[in-house]
Amino acid sequence: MISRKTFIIVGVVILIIVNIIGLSRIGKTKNSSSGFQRFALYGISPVQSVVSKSIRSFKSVWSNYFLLISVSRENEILRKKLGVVTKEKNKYIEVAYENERLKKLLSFKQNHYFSTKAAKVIGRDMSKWFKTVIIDQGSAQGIRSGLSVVVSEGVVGQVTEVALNHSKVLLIEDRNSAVDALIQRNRARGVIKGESTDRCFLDYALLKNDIRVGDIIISSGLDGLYPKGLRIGKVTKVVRPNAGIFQDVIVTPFVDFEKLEEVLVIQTTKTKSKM
Amino acid sequence: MSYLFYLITCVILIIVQTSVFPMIAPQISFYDLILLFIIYLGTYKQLKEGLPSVLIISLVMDSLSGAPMGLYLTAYLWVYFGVRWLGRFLDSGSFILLPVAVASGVLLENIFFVVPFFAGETRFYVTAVAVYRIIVNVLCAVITGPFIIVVMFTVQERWEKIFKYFFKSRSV
Repeated sequence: MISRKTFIIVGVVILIIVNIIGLSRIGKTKNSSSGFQRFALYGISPVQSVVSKSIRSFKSVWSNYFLLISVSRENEILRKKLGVVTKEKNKYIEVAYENERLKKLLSFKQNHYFSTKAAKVIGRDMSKWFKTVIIDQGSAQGIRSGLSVVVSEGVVGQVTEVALNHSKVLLIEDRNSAVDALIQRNRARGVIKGESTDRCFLDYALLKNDIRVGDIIISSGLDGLYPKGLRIGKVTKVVRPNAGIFQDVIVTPFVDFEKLEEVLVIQTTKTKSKM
Repeated sequence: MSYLFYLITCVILIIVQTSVFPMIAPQISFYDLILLFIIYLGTYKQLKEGLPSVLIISLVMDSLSGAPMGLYLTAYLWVYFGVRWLGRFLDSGSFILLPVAVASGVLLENIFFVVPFFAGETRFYVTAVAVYRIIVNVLCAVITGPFIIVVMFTVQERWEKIFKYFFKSRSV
């Protein structure tokens, strides 16, 4: 007789074989969705969808968060680097401009044989009605009242007040300034007067003199303040009245007073100019 | 402590006016910022506190500027007393007081600067520039001046509170 144990083993084996054969047959036939399957899909899939989307979004947020942190850190580092580079670049540009200006001043100095002292403009007059600047050289550096101040473009003004390490310079465009001047072309004389505006006037220019727009005006040296031959400005307008003995001559200075940064103070009043 | 505040404020205003503005925007003809401080002293401070400050500031300004000595002193004193006089008719809390005080102060200062020097000027260009500058100055001052004065007032209030607190806690 077959024992009970053997019967169970044979039964299980047969069940496994039938199951395998059945599965292999089902795999070969076409899938046809039953009503239950559809119901299951209908009920479960939206939840699955929500959960999987949530997980995906969470994962995405999580990974982006860390990504953003690292990008933000990198961004910060790059910004700092950019700031440093921009600062450096600006410094080099400033140095280049300063170099250019100083070269001009140096060539001016070499051409004129003046004993000069270079100075930086550190402040300007508070009021637009008065045209003065403060320079960073004073009596300790040999500056004294009355010395003339120039740049390569032309005459700037004269020193009016001196402190130990600073001086005040009255610009030629100030109302209180006057420079004895000549028209370079025909040596006609006049006095350059400031009006605290952006232009100057050539006063006392005789009507008989032929003064034309574009004429260059230079210092005559007769006032004892400015050496002879320094460029002052260009004639921009001439008005010849029918009566009187003088003509109205408007002069635009060569120096852009708004952009003054470095100047030369002429320390010797004795002129050795080539001109 | 008030005098220290005045000193610091004046130094800041002078530096801004003489070194910062000319470097940033040299073409702009901005009005005198110190004048706002004078108006502030005239409007909100007592005579014994305001007058010495006005005198000292005026002398400093006269020394720094290319203006004839005493011009700033004269202009500031007139503006200071003018503003105090104006305060008799308008309450210090009135919203109209500051614009009126600033406009009349800037106008008065410009008149002091211009009239003695430009009187008898026959060149139209110079007169036109002078008039244009005065108009621009007054307009700028009316728009920005009251705001700056209110800022000064608020900062000084806080400044004094901080010092009071500091000295109180030190004494305890």
